[in-house]
Amino acid sequence: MVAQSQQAVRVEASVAPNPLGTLLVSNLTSVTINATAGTTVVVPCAYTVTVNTAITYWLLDDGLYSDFAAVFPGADLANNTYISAPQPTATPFFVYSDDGGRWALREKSGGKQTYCVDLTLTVPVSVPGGTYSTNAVYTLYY
Amino acid sequence: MMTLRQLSGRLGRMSAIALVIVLLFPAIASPSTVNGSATVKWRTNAIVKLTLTPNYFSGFGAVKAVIGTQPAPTHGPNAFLDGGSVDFGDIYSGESFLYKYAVHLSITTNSSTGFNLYGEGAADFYNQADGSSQPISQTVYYLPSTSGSPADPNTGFSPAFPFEKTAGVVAGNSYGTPPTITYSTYPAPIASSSVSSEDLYYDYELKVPAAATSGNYFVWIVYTVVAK
Repeated sequence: MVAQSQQAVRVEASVAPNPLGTLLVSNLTSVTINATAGTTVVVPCAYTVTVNTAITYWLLDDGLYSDFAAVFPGADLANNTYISAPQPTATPFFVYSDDGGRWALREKSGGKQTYCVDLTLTVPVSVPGGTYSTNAVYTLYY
Repeated sequence: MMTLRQLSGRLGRMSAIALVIVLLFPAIASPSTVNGSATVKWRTNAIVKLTLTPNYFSGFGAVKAVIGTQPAPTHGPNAFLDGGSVDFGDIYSGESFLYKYAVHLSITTNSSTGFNLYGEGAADFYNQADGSSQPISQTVYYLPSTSGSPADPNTGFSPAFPFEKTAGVVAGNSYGTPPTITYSTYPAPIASSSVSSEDLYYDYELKVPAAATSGNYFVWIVYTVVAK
């Protein structure tokens, strides 16, 4: 018989529609990539980002908030952001915490647009096995 | 034929002889002491104790994910210091929140090799208003925090890990009833320790998808500690 102990905590919230909830949305709030150290993994259209507005001119910034870990830079994750056809190459994400507290300008456009984001993850061979995480942040200016 | 007097005389001598024999017995045993080893085996049952304390430090509560100066934490009515729920309160869908000082797990075992900690959702994030739900792995996240000293440095953009919906057998899952999970196979641990006792501190993050319907949502997060 396995010795174990169990406890539970309730998580709750009262959710209301967001008046600006459709202005900038993603189809997913998290993406999980399984990879082996020393390899590169490409996830086509890992998630989408949609700007949903009639405004004719806006700017979309993106970036990672932080590295995965001290030995696992966020720049090892690259994105290829496109509407219909992938760009020729993927671009490493800016890392807000490393790159002077700024984001990268991703798009200049207007009206409603939906972008597919391909992710290319290169895991350094020195990264120990484990679970790592970071947040991709998108900001719309209009 | 033996008379009674003769009998008692014989019995008296025999008794005396017998008495000597008895007294000599320890003297015979003493020089024959044997040295050897004895192996004693016993089994000690593994003991695991888990104490879960929600909202374990003053300043607990929800903070909207923003860059720069962080807003003061707030919380819903069912959260209170050292107890209650991890209650994010009133929020908008499509926004991200950090919940500071969400749970403190105090774990004690008598296992010299430590323990594994498992943490899973008993279900998805359930809307009591209309019966819909949001996948917990897209909604509720956890990340390491501090005991309160030093202060929790996390923001709503700090890296976090999604809770998964359990594949175990859930019993007693309702808003007012903490569920239990029976495992035939344990999932991947969210933490593993090689020492017998440890205190673990976690913040939570909540990212309710923009398409979520209005209502009061809840999910039970079930922690299981197993001695290694």
